[in-house]
Amino acid sequence: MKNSMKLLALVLVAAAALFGAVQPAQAQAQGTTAVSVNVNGIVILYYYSSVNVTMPADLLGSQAVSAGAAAPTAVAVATGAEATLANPTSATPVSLAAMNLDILNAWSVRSLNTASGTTQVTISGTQDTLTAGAGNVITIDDRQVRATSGAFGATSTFPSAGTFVTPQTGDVRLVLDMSATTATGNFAGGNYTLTAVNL
Amino acid sequence: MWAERGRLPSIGLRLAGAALVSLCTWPAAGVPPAPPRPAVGFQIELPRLVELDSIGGRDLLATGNAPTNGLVTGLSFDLGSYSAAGASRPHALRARVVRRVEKLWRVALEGSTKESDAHEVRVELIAPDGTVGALGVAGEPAAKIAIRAVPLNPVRIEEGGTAFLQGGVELELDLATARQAGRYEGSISVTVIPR
Repeated sequence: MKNSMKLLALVLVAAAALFGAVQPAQAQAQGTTAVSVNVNGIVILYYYSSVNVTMPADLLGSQAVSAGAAAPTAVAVATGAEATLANPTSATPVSLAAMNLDILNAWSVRSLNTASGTTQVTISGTQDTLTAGAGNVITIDDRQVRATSGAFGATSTFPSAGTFVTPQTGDVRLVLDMSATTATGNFAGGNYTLTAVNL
Repeated sequence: MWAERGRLPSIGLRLAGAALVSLCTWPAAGVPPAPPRPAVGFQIELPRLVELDSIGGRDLLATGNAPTNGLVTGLSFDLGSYSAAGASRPHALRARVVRRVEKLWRVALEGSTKESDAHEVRVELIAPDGTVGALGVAGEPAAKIAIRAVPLNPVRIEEGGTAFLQGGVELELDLATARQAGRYEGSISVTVIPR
């Protein structure tokens, strides 16, 4: 009987030790529920509300070359060499009726779209004439747009994916007719409109 | 003493031995331990689904961005004059959209929770692929929105003669981490611990 009591005591001590090793159930409540949210398509267009370029005084003198002359190079016409003015068909004589004014980095777009969706930037305009004085004008003959390193056209389409974080930047080309330009001056009045949409 | 060798152990000894065996075999090897059991009467109630208000262009206006127009379907940001020195580039987008869920959970104040005035609340967002702190588009592992969850201070309410502790959450969705539009899903895990 004495040995039995010792064994019982030993078992109780072991049991107590084991109980002590087990953490008591923590008084807490936990639950989980489903959650969802719709993220609609978003397009953000960054643009410049005014574009002011200064053509070098000797621009036409150096660019208006005769047939067979070397191709004219682009000339910076804005701070930071962002915009350039160049002959559209460099191997042929410069045509004052079709001078390309390229406005680089003129726009940027952020887009949230479907995974395989694309975004399209379109250019248009309502005022074609820049006037410095009576009979002294520059006419915008055409407006084009491109995503950086793309090709100029009436529209530019590019994949939307990733552009919400890293905007897609692009350029604007104005094809200028300077055949009716008779004197230097401050030419104002033309415009262009950019529109960005998710397709 | 030897005369007692053939006797069965006493009742107390047998019960203690059974208890010891039970402790040694629980939990069974290879079986994950059961989650902590809540105290009696300490059950949390949550809705089956939390549908947040959809996110669109207007939310970007509310986050401090300054567009030229306020069209919901398209936002235009004027960068100023192109010829200005150091012409502007697209600025960083303030795209942290906040959604509040005022009544997300509640627990009845009875049993062990009745006397507790302070509770610790943990809220966690989990995307379908298991990513913590995000919601995701099902089937599009790369499509996620990072979310920060801030529990709202619980309040005591009465309903049908029963006192409840009710709480919500403020979710801050970082839209700048989104790669695409669509339906983002996941789950909210709420843990309430009386102090």
